[in-house]
Amino acid sequence: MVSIVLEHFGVTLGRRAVVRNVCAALEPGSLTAIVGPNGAGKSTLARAMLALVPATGRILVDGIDAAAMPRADLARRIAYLPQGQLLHWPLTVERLVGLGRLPHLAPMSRISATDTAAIERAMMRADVFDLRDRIATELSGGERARVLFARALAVEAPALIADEPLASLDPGHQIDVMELLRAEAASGALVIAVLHDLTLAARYCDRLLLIDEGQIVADGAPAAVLTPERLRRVYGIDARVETGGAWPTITTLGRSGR
Amino acid sequence: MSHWLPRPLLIGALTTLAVIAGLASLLFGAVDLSLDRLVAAASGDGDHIASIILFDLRLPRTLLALAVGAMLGLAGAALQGYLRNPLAEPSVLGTSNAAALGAVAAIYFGLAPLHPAVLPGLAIGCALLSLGLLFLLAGDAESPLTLILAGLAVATLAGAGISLALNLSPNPFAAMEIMTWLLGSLENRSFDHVWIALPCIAIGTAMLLWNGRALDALTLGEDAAQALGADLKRTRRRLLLGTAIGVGGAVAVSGAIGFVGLIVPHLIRPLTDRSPSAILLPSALGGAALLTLADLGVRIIPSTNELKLGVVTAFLGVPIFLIHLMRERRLW
Amino acid sequence: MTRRCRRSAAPFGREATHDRKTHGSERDSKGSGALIASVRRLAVIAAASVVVAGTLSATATRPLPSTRAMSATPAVPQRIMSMNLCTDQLVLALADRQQIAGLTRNATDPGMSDQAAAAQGLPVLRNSAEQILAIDPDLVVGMPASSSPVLAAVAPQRYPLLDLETANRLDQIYRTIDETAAAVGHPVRGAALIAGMKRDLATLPRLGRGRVAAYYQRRGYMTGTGTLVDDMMTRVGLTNLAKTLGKPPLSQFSLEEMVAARPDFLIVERATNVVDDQGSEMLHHPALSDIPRIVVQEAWTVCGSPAYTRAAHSIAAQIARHDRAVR
Repeated sequence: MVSIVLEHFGVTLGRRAVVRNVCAALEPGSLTAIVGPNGAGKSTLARAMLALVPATGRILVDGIDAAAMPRADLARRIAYLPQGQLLHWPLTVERLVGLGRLPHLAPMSRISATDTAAIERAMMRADVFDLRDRIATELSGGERARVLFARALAVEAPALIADEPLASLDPGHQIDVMELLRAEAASGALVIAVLHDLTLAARYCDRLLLIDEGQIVADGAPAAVLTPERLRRVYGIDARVETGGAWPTITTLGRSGR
Repeated sequence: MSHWLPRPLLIGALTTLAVIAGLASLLFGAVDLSLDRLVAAASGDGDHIASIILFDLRLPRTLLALAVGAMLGLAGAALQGYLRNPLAEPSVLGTSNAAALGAVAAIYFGLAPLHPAVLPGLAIGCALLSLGLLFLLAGDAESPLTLILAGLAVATLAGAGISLALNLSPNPFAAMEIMTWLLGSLENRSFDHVWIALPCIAIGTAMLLWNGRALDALTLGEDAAQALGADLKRTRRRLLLGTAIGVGGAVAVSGAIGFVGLIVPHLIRPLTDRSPSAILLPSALGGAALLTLADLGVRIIPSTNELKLGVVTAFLGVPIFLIHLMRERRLW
Repeated sequence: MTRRCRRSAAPFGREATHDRKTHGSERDSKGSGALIASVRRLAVIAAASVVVAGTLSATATRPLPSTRAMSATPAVPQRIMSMNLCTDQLVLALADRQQIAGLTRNATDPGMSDQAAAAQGLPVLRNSAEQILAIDPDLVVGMPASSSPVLAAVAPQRYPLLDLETANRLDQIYRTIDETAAAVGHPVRGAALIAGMKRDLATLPRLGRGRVAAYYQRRGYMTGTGTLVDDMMTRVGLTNLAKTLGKPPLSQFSLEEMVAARPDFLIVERATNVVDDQGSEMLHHPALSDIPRIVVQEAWTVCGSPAYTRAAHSIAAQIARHDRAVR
């Protein structure tokens, strides 16, 4: 169980304030989506939460300031699935998923039975166990996305941050990945995903953080956040939001005059 | 798909190969000495000539070939892992030439006799400078080609620096020496050279072997590596210092021997699970064996003048370099 | 006016020098890339390569005595130009100072030339055709002068040439002294110089007693037979290792082979006493440490010159010192 609290959190890259004064408390067992237009600062916010970019304000992980936490400690608490990952060496799937155990390995130690078990669990959950002897760089896009997901799962961290995990996936695979994220949250993890597809976000997530120009403009349940008025203001689109079903669906009608 | 060897088997086989190469290097030389004479010399009751040849000439040369080869192989494996580029290695990136430039400056401007640390010190300093320049030129460029081009620039600059330094030095025989420094040679090395190179190589090896985990994490890119707990700043510092110290110390006594760091990881990788950490130690062992065998070849191939080591390694290495370059071409 | 040297009919001699990597060939390649500070030694590079070229071709070819060229020149030339380090020394020893119009770059280097002190203050040429034209010499001395590419650029037929052969034996040294003395108009000085050398050598003790010596140069080059050094070694009673092994005038001989051959003496050049590069470093390898050494000055052995007697006496004295120490 882990909690992440952002207090007046901000990131300045160059001279530009990319993320400004973000305050939020994220709870375990929930799936939160960070949504917003391109350039709003979603990915930067996600990266800053992992202390990958220098930030102002504070981020408390389990009540401890993440900036002061040793990197390996943070790595064991929050797993990260970066955007559009390149694989640089032709590793087997099993070896690749095994990289997720790195935060748990003491220097110069060998991989233990616990690690092997975690790797197998992760492969099972992401449904890539059958691919375990394949070369990861030779897989299809959907397979590879699942393998990389398994890699993040293998960390077995109580929190997971996934940056645009749906990019370049077909609708079927998008649903697969969202189901995996949902299942993680259901098993008690704190899951945060940067998403573009508002309908999928609304369907699977407990909570949306709508970001524009580095600031949170709305924070809450999908139905409360996704109003036509906000979509016009933030995305510059006219959209129909239907809230009658099990989850809100968003249909984009066109560019709004703003 | 994978046809890799279990790690203990791989390491055992490579160690055996390096030992065999080392023994062969002790057995063969310009003078034919019978095995009996050498064994007698080794056990301390041999004739004077045989023991001088064995202990003063062949032993230091063999030790240097093993150590320098190990260093170059390891540096190649570590640089490839860190830069995620299968073409990276000390000579392609210009590190070796830069270290040679430092050594040339120390020797030809009379600085080396001032203190035993001057020669390796200058070689290490120049190697470090070249790596700094390389990272500055190539920056965070995603294209592997940018790095290779930057390396070419650094190597050419350092090579020209060597020629200039030798031309400016008050030594009329410098032209002949340029070749030794640019192609590398272990001819006529003594234990003095071993004591210069070995400490540097030991330090460099330790620093580079330390990086295995971080290099594995880097397979997923820098962000993911950091999120997996890798401290990239420290990794970079260890990698730069380890490469500079090890390669600097090696080149200070052997000259810039090319392509060992390219060939060896390339040959080793298919025998492992292909993760960067898995090829570090085997590349060191393989490099030791390869360079020792190349040095043996240099002595055995009949020629009026002894061949330069770099000639042999270039013939082995350039084809591998080209094959990789062809593969990379789709990324251009 | 001039006389083309007959040795030009034997291009083979020149080609052969490239195979034998002597210090001459090292110096040659150095010459092509040289820039600034090392210019001091550049002339000798050219000079030495000519020496070597001469060394190898001397037995096959011999330049004609330049009497016909001489007949057309004034009896005592007043603007003598030397094209080569070795002829520098001959001209300095035999001509009057005011007769000398130009020497080569290394004429003033005491490490290279035995006559460096005498050369101080005299004009030093930069191997440039323009300078030759400006000086308009009335005698050009070379070894041989007619093969100089610089001279070839300025229509050498304009100038009287004295082509000397490279001296690799004592009698050849005498002959070059003789010819130079006649050409510069001081034949009596030449005769006196030769007589003095003969007196000096008459007292040279043959202390070598047939012991084996190797003349070992930087990078492991060993000097063989048919060379000035071999002539000196024979004269002091030493046997040249290269001769016993049937090696050519210049061969590369590895440290291992040297250790195995175990000569009684190593003769090395004084310049290599200081380790300032890899080439000289190898001569200080510990494996050679128990072979006694004789050190000679390069200035005495680079050219066949009147310094021959000093070199020979120096070798003999060092053998004597060694023998006393051993006893």
